[in-house]
Amino acid sequence: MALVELRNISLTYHSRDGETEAIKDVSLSIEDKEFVAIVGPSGSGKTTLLKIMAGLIAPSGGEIVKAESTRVAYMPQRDGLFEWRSVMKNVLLAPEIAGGDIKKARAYAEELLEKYGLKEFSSKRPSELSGGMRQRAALIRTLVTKPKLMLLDEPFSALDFQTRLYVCDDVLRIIKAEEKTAVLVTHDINEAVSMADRVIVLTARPAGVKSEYTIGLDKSLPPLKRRELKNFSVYFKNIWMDMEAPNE
Amino acid sequence: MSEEHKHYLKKQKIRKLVVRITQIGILILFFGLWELSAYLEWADPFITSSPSRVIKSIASLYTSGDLFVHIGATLWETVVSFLLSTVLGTAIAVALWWNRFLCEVTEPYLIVLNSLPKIALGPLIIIWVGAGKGAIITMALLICLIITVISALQGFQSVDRDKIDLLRSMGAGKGKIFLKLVLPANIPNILAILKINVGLSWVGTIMGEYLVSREGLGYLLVYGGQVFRLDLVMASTLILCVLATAMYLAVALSEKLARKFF
Repeated sequence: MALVELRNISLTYHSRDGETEAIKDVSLSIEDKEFVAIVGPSGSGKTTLLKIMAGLIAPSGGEIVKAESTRVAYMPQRDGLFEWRSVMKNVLLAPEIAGGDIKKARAYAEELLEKYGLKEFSSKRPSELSGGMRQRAALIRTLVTKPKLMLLDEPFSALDFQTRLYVCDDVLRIIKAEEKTAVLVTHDINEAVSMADRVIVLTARPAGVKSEYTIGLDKSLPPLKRRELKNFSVYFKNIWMDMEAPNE
Repeated sequence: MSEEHKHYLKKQKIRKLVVRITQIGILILFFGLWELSAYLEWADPFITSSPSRVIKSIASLYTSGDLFVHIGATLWETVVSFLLSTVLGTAIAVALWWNRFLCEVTEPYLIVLNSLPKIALGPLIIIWVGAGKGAIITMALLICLIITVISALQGFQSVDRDKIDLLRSMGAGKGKIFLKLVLPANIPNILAILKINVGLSWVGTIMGEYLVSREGLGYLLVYGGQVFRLDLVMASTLILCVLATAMYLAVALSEKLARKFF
């Protein structure tokens, strides 16, 4: 059974100027421990779709089917670290809000920070970290609640190109090591093909599922190496053409 | 350290020293010329007063025991209205941030109240609150309050949407969003408002003292003007300069300290 299933999701915005159909009849399912990338032209409603999955926006129609126990964590665009909190306190934000056992959460946070090389920075301010390290701290902040499903909203868009390549490798490695399911929203086809097990292409607004590609690249390689594989450009080209094609 | 860098540092140091010496020089020149012009009677000291007469005036206020009564009265009114307007203004801004309906309803009223010159309310305040310290504090409060509400609210509303979404995805309600994100993110903004309020609460207090009062620096200014004792007017002005600057510096210092944390 799928971990999460979206059935006929639609969303219509209402404003004074009229109504906008942002998402139209989207059905898709995410399997356990799968890494799914959602790509689409800018303004297509990818982020909105992700926010619906995170429960931040209620859809106008359709339903989301998932088990009660499936914990979801959302990682917004840019790292969203709070500048007035130390790295450790940023990581502990979710347990603090949930009001659970903070000691247990702290022990787990320490373990994660240690494992991913941020231990010595745990009392530092986010501004003292490099872009890549900030992204890693933000990822640990989402991991600390032990979610099953991680929703990543263009997490690399604020980084420069070089850092971005490196952080892609880093994030995928951590997500795979922690055995998480992840949905990544991006406008960067390269990023999607190099990281994901499956890529879902959305149409321009109103967003609908245009096509789906199961990526058959060697998963033992990090994303940066996958970019050099022969089939990579084939996937890229197909997806690019799908995004260029007008809506039917 | 390279020779070049040493040279650079030395140049910076000298530059800073020159600026400071010039500043002090201007001050000495100003008071010197003032004293000299009174001494040589280039200008009538009865109209312009002079530094030595100002000092004598302050000394006589001190010996009569009035000096600290006046300073105390004004300082008390200023500090109370400053604190009250900051706390009350922030609290109102929180309420308006919390309740969008309330915020939309009050918007035109805030604009009108903000545009109104608060001194126009003087007669009303005197009649309603009574001619005393209450009226002065009310006047100063009105001057600071509206601008505090507007600036604080603006700060609250400009918090990054992404971060609010992040907290919501963690299950935070409005209260937690405010405490964990909106308030700490706005500490620098609130401190900037404090700096403006220091100046405004002095304006309000002195204005209030012009209208009513039997003590305070504003009272001394008006009284000195009425009986043509320019020494007293100049003395009060100088004391005001010192006090207002000291209070501003205190707030600026606390801002600097707080900025380290937020």
